[in-house]
Amino acid sequence: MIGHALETLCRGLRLLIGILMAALAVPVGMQVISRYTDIIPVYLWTEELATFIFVWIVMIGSMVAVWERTHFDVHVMPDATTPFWTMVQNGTVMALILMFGLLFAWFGIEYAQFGYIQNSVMMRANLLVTYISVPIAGLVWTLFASYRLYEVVDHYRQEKVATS
Amino acid sequence: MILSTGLASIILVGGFLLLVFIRVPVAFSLGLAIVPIVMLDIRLTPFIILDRMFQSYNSFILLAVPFFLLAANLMNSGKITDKLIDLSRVLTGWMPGGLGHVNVAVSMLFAGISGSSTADAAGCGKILIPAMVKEGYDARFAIAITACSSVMGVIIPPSILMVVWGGVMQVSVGGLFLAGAVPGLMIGFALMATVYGYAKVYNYPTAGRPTLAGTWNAFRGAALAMLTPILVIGGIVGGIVTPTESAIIAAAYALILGVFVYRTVTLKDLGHIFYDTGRFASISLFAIGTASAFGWMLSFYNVPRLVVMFLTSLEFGSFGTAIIIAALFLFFGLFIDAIPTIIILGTVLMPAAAAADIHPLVFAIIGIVSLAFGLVTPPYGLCLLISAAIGGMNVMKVIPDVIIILLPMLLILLLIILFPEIALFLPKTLMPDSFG
Repeated sequence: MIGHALETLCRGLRLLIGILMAALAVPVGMQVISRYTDIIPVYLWTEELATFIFVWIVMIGSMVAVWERTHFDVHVMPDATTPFWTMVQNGTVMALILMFGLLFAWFGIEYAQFGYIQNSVMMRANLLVTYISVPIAGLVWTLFASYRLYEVVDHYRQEKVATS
Repeated sequence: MILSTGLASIILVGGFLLLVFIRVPVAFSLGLAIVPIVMLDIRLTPFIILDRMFQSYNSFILLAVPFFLLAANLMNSGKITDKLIDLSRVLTGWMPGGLGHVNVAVSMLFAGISGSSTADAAGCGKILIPAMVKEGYDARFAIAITACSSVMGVIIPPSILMVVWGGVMQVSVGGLFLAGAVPGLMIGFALMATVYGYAKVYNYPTAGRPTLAGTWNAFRGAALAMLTPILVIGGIVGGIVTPTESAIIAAAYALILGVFVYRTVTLKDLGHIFYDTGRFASISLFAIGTASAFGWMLSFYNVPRLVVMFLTSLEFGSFGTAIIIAALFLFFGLFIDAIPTIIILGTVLMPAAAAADIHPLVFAIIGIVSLAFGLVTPPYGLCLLISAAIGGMNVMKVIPDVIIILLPMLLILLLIILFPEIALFLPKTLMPDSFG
């Protein structure tokens, strides 16, 4: 049930990445067109909008990668050979990501508040628009890593029951 | 308390290595290694670190990265890669070890268009590894040559790593592109020489002599795709477009070719391509944030200054320092993704390179070429992992061939260190005002 809900959330995030990536082409493309043609005037806000979208793509991508476990890791340490040590190996990684997510979410709230009292230079947009991505990313990493941690422990329990 | 440089360095570097060892993703390891320092040192707050991390994404030049990746993905989906393979076949397929040469040549062409080694390994490998195995090549050699040739993607311009390097270290991206051209081509020719050696030893076949009509068709088919490097590199070097603008022009051009000219990309494909690009770019770029915070922390504790003092005290001169720089990049490239390594190690070593009178462009090329080799060496060789997955073989079985193929490539790196003019010749010739 919870796993299903989180998968649905991740599906939404994947869709959002695709949409934002396509959207990113618009302000950057407008910049190129306005610089080299007279079709549209030079809009200074395009650079700002592009970086806003870019920040969100990076943050959402990092959330999806926690769920999909596709963040780059290095396999120097050999695979654990027993179910218990497999649980410890995989569980430790997820627990540490969870901890980082919690810190990011907690301290990110203060950071988002700092964004709330500022406006961007060109668009005069409230910077909460992008700063809020910090605590949101922390929260979503925490959610995803918690569930993956639960899965690791649950898998170990099931294996233990099956062998006993 | 106030931490000393030594203690802070031990916690930072030791913590990071320990976390990477226990398989915590590199991006998170960099962030987690900072946590104890922030908790212990009263001069630091989580806010400073978050801000440092977040502001690193606020870079217009980094926007070039997803667009170069988009161009590469569009090329692979739009069968532009196939056209490049056809062209490579008529250019090099007639030599002994024909498909091996085709593999190298197509990587050189692909590198001139896309800037991404992983996209090269995935796009070309999917077609050429099965084709080589079918024609009697050893699968290990097919995988190794695909992986090793794909590293040219980040050396021959345009290059995603050069865009990041230029953005982080305030070096002209146009200058970097030009500086990478000759070393990239030299690596390509070294690879072809290795393929020739393999072909002679194992009696590998040629891919057949092309007919006149076949040659004409191959040139005609790839001509439009081959305009991309002119648009991208010519635009940047000529000062007409910025790297970010050139990246979007490359992506738009690949889109036009795929959708309207070759008609191989559908609207449905586009959705997948945008998602794939965004996802892969974000995984690479997310590490920029934590790496920037980590790198800033090293600077805060004066680590770069200590490195300069240490290297200066050794009195190795330009050559010795360059060798140490290459060795460090090669070593860290084994374990960490190239982008965070550039941000951390590049910024730490830059003052040391300057103190040893190593030109910023030569320092960049030594770093980027060394890091490119890390793409094919375990445990973190992305291109090797991709190629081995395509060939359905365990990475460890391919290592002996990778080492053999890498040796001449290392020789090229040594030549760049010995004769920096290899990298500086084109920038000095074509951008004399900036690099005279």
